[in-house]
Amino acid sequence: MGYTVNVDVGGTFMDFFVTKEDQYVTTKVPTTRYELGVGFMKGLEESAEKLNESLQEFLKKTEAIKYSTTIGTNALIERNGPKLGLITTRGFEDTIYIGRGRQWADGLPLSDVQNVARIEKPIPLIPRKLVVGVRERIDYRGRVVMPLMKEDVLEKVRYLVDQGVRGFVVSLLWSFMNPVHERQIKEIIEGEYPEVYLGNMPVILSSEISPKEGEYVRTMSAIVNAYIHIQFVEQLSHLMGSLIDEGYKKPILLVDNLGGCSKASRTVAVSTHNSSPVAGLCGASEVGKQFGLPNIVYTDVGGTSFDIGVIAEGAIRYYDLYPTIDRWRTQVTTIQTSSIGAGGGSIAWLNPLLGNRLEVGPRSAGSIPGPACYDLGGEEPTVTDADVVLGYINPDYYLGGKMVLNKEKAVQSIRRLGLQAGWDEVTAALMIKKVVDAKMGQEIFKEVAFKGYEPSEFVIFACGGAGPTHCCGVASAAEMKVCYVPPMASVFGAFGASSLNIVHKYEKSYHLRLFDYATSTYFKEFEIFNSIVNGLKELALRDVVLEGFSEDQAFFKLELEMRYGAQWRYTHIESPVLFLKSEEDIKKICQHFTEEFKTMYGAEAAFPEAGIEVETFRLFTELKIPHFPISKYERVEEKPSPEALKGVRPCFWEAERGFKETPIFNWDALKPGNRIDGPAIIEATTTTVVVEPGWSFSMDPYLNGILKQDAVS
Amino acid sequence: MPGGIDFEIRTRFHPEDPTPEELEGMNQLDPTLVGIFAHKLMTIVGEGNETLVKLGASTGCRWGDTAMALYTTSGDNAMCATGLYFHAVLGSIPVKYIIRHWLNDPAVGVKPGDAFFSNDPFYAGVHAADMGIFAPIFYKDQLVCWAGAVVHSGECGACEPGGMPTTSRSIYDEGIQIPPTKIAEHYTLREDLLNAMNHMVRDPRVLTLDIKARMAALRVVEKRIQSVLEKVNPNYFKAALRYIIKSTAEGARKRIRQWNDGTFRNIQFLDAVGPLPQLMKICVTLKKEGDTLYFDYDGTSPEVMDRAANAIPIGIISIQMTYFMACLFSDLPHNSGILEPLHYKLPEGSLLNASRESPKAGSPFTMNVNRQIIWHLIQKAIFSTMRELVLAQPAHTFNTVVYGGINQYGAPFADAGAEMNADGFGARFDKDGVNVAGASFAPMTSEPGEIESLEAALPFLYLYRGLHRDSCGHGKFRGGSGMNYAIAVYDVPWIFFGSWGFNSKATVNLGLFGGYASPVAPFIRISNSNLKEMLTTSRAELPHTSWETYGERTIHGDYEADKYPSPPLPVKEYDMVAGGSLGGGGYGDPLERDPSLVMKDIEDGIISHRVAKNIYKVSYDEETLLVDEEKTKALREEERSSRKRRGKKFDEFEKEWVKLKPDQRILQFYGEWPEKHYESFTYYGSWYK
Repeated sequence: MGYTVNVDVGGTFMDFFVTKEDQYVTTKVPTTRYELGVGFMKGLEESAEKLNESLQEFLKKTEAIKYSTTIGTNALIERNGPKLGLITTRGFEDTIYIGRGRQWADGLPLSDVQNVARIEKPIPLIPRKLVVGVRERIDYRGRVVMPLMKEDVLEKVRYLVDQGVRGFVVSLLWSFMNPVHERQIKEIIEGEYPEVYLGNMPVILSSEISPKEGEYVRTMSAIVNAYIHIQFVEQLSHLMGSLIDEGYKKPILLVDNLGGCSKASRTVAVSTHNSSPVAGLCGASEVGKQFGLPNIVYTDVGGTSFDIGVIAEGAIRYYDLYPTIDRWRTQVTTIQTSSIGAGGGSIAWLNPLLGNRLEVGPRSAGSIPGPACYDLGGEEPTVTDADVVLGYINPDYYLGGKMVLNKEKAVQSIRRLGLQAGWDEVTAALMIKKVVDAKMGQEIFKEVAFKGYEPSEFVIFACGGAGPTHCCGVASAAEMKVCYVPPMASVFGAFGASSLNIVHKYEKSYHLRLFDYATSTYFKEFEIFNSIVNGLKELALRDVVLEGFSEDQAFFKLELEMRYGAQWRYTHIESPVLFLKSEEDIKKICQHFTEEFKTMYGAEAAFPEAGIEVETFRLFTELKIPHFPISKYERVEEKPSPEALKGVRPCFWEAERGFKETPIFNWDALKPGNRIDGPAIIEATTTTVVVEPGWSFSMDPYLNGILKQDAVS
Repeated sequence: MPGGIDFEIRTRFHPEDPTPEELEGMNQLDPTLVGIFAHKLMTIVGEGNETLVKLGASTGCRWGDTAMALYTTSGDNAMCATGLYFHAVLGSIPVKYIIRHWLNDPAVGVKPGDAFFSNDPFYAGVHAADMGIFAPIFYKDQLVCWAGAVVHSGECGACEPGGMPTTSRSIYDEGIQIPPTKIAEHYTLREDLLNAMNHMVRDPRVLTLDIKARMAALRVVEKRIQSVLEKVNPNYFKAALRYIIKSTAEGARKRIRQWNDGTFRNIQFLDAVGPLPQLMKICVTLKKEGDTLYFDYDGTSPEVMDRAANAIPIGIISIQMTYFMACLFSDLPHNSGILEPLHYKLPEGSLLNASRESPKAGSPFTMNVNRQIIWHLIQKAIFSTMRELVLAQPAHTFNTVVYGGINQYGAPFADAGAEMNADGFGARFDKDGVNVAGASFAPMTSEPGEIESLEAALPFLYLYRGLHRDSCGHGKFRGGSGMNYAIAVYDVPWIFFGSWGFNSKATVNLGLFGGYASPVAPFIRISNSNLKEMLTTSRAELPHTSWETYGERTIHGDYEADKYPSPPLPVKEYDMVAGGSLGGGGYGDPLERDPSLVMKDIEDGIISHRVAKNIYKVSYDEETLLVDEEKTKALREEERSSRKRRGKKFDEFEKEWVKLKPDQRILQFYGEWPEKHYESFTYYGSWYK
């Protein structure tokens, strides 16, 4: 068996998780944002070196590469996409500027928009002069109300060509119900500018990118996709060229934001957005399944942000139906993850308006200049500085000793802050820890509780550099008692990529009243329901074949976005049937919806008499591919070996009312079965695990660190 | 006495004094640790509000006109999650009412599992369409706090569909109005009461779904608070709630102290009394002294006993929060502590201190004119010390459609349109206002929605919806643009269709420091038209802006130049209405605007050539939009000279100005001209000596 390479691009580092059978190596290289392919090849070289292979030999033996990339996001941030023209229904040319009104808030944290005096809408990807309206109209049932006129289309297309556009996005009202006019426009453009001419340009139809209700979000899905598409093709082609030159002959699998991957040639560019945290969440789900953990909150604490994803009842159940990509709200359904501005670099400050109460973030010192202790010019006190002052982070062993921290700078910055509040530096540092732990913990609580679950029934996966340092405090604030620190926590996104199967998703909006409020009757036109599912399944089978699989290897799952009549928001369920054969099948779906609804919101909230409606159909197909098996090791005795103890140093513990000489352990020297009662510190090369008093740490047979509260022996 | 109106309770709007036990507890609290605790409580009410929005059905749920709040045992709002900031101070009166009337009443009482419904505007503050449910939270038999869930449910059985009638002649035309009344016991809804309410409204489905949403949200919050109380002492909990209110008040005082002291005065006019085009005046004198603001409303028009324009003081005060909390105090917790430094003097018998019997459904109009005045006054006070907060007035909000009938699926419907969430916001000292930013009363959550989701639920066919050309106030930096639209009735034989709002005759928007006001907006009805034929069989060009609809009249039919508001009338399929929301005020002299920005505004459809030439005085080629810099400079110099020639000395101007008076026919309800002065007042808060 050969190697599998999993690559995850982050803001600061590109992570590599390379496996062969049950062995793995991890590599981190700086992210080369100007050209991700450069960092990609460098990471491969370093990985090959660790495996004592030449790059060519290594790539020759590599069977699959899974790539979670940010090419698309970078193109949007840097605004280096092509000049596009938008063709839409006449009278609705301003839809993308109205942007559902609150476009000014999309993609920004609350702290940036809560002062309405300073809000701003983003600069559009397509200026108004490159938007044209054509005379046509389709209604809510998909009926043509006003026919399209060819000469009108031609006139508008010629205008756009004269303006120098390099691609067309076509998005008409109700095209997801009836794409006939969008398709006619494409034919007209292709007829006027056939492939042989230099004027030939891509035509992206909204009904093909996202056949769902909502003209703003559908149009933006199509525009964003068109905008990043060319960058994607160029960068991937270049990368593939380099890989082929070095001997790799297989396709690249791109990781998407729905917890799967697919051949680059079968991937829609926009579906790769936010794939990194989703891959991490999927990794946590995979590990959870293996260990029998049904309820997990996956967290990743970096320098500036705190990412969260939820696994409930053994599955990733939550989608973001309207994800914001850069500043653009779209409707490309993704697995939901959330993020707040809290991390090691978050800056602490005193709020004079509220009695000088201490606040942490959302401003961050980032990596440059970084926390004061980095000694790169930063002077403001940060969470990392507080961790140094409290003795948790070893200034001489940060990133395994690759970076030496200046403790005195940390003390000075915290002391300056404390002076203003009447605290010494230790009290100030403790307050910073309390505030940031509470902020992160309460965010976790919110994420779980808002979904209708009890936070206390969940465990935390603490990933990212600062995750294990704060997980005990964060868990307490989240009302949780167990944290897992996986051995590959610092490259968990790349590990997560290794756990993914090939997944494709197909969606379509269609309003069906399964139980009608006005007549109190069940839906009878089974053929409508079945033809929608059939249409989606046909698309799926096309991709199954092109991915190199056969139909019997594919697994299908149908989800429905549903609601009671008159409600605005949806609740999705997995349909108990794929096709309707009788009224019993409809009743089954309705019953299942009401049961799910009651579970989430209480029996009192259910109101089936109001009517039960389906708005969106979502069909998944999954193709299984081999995964990295996590090795299991024999347990040894509870007491860590003497070599595991690196020494002691004073650390501050609130429960102990002061500093206490605290044992410091070396993660790499711990063995399965070892147990350490808090207070203690465990140092790994990429993170520091803080075991607070009242908590215990043990290493399980899979080398996960497990922290438990109230488990002191 | 049972059935009596409690006139006193509605004056208890400001936070109560701390109880002795709250005071004792507060002395031991640390601001940072209370901050952590407050964050936890905010998470809890946020979860409650999210539940409301998720489960509710009315349009109010869609634009964030919902609130989940915690109240102290004295009834003061301590913590609130909402999209519409007036809820952060409302709700206190119904809770205080329950405490006073039912807490110790042997026949009613307050027990765990109880919940009280309230939508009587005399206590709830605005109109009957706003409905709340309030529930006590106990810990081991001790009442620790109250929770409240409020939604603007709209339809309430009034004389017009949608819950906000403009033709009501007394409160008895305005639908069900229930003072705080027990709707649930032992954690169970009283089905008999719900059934009775459902019999009194046009759309019982939405009423029921919203009530169920409120109950679910309250139960979520109660469960979470009880979990908190397992860890903290109830006395700590109560003291912390009071501390949060007090520290909010202190924060507000600190900020106010930074502004200039002085006395500032402004008046504006409401151009609709019920459905009648009549002029009413609201007058505010603001005295800013140290860390305190005093608002005096003497000079305002009198109450109208039989038309919907009247407001009550808690509505007048609470609406100001939609400005204060969105801009001035956006970084403070949202609760009734904000009210502490704010003091009010409201004339008795005036439009904004109305008696019990007069209709109140139009109170949002009066409330919002008052908010526009306050908004403008504050800019004068903060300009030199907090320039980054200076913001010209937004559009006043509320111009929208109202409708009701049987929809395309055979189900009843009645509500107000999301078109009201499309205000342009005001200009700033350094940049233009935001186009179609949302509803200025609920900026954080309101959305005008998408055509497809509206047409899927309503029997409508939109002909266009886009930026409303020339709807902004002009200036060196212009206000944001509003949004125009046209809607035809579609796929049903007929519905009731009308408009809500005001501002079709007299603007309630002012520019800042030389910037222009935004204009007024018409509402057009077109009936017996050839629209169907134009859509399906002809190749004729349909209008795609309201300017084209009004001006070019390519659609043949009977045009009626109507206005905001216009009571709902039966309207046939393919009959249509057209109108628009407005933009924000401008900042600075339009002659100082960069000509290239003027050209971009033309390109973006925000202004017309007429405006570019006549207001901005730019010389350019209409086809290429290339500016002739020299000619523009000359045109602007010429305009400056012309202004000087047209100018008058103030004494001279005033002498002529005071002789002017509007036509008596529109002053039917105005009161004494030019200004009515009152002898008796109701005070909210204290008053300066």
